Amino acid sequence: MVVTAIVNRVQNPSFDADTLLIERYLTGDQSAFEALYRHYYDVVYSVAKGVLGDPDEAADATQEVFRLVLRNLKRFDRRARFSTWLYRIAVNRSIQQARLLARRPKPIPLDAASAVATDAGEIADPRIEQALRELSPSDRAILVLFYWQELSLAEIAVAMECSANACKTRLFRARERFREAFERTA
Amino acid sequence: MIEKDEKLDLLLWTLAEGGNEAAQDEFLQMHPALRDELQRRTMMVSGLRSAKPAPCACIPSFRYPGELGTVRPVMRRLVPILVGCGAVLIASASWVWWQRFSEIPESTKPAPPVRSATAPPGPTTQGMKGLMVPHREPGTTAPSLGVPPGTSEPAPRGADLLRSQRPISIRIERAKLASALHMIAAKAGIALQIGPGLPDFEVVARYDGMSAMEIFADMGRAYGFTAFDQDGSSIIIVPARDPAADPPTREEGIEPAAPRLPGR
Repeated sequence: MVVTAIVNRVQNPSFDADTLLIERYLTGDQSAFEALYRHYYDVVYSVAKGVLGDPDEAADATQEVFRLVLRNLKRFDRRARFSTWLYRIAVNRSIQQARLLARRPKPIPLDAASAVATDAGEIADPRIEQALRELSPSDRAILVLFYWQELSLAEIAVAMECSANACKTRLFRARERFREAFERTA
Repeated sequence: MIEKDEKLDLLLWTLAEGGNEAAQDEFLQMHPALRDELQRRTMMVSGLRSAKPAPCACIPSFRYPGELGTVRPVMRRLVPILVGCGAVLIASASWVWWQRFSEIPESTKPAPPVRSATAPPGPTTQGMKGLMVPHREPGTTAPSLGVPPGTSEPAPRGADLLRSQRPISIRIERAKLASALHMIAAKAGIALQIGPGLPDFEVVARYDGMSAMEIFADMGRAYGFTAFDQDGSSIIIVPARDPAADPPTREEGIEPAAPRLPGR
């Protein structure tokens, strides 16, 4: 399997390099999964953070996403890229977690005038945070995938399990709601 | 208020996201009224992109499922099945145990209490008619009579039996009749009253798995007395046979024959 993967990589320039790591893991190489984990941790974390809003919840969701990946790696059919499959798991799990959290008592909202420190120490616009918070989890997900991960509409459609036209409509509506929420906070 | 035009709206977003100043200037020359809107959207897109979390300086280590103590999906399905099987096994074992130990073995099943009015015919001079072969102690002639077959009725279970009906086992070696009767009553845990005139025989007896009333009935046939059960815990011995129940075993006027002892 590993030899076949290497030959495919040489012959096909668009060969998914992640497939090699997956094959190595499936043959028993635990470090291959660790490499995948470190390579995509920030990606999954940013998706989770964008959908959930809370850093701690995002960290937990990220761990859960990779546990799901570990459990289902044998069933990954390789027709799509690993990153696309990973995005799908991350989005679904984050939206699921956000809906569970929505049922819990909400914390006191941040003062709109105060700034919010990001993980890197930069100050994020609180109006942006507030506007995102007012959106539904699925709206936040599509905005995060488009603006943070810079995925194409086709890739977002695969990640969100919808058609390209439906994805385009969803993005249009999510942006409109975000703009309205942003102007309300301004 | 900007009239909603999907194409115009899409163009505004594209210009805000693209950041191409030349394209923005060209657009604003055609739509000068949309300058503020374009600026707002450019600010929104810029702010939205800035809100993206920076790469983690220290990626936490991956917590494998086993480390968290989580149960694998297979085990999640297996544990309830195992618990169910265990419960079924325990229930079956309890039922079997209860069935086994709640039943009284055939050999120790007590015979129904023998009332004086319905006592089966006692031993006659012709022999043990209607009775089983007596269980004799070696070296003795005094019969230790068992319960005749065919006359037993299914005895009630132990918890429901009166004291006078509970099976006992007793062995009497050469005791006076009155003493023997008291010994039997004491063994059964019942009170005993003996009327005057009880014959003073010396008896040898052995009874296994018979109630006190059955024993008294059997001995009464042999030694000429009748036992009356008062309330299950008290018996009265009347040294006389019920004339309506059995034919007399001894001729009138003759002293009751003492049981033959070995050597006599």
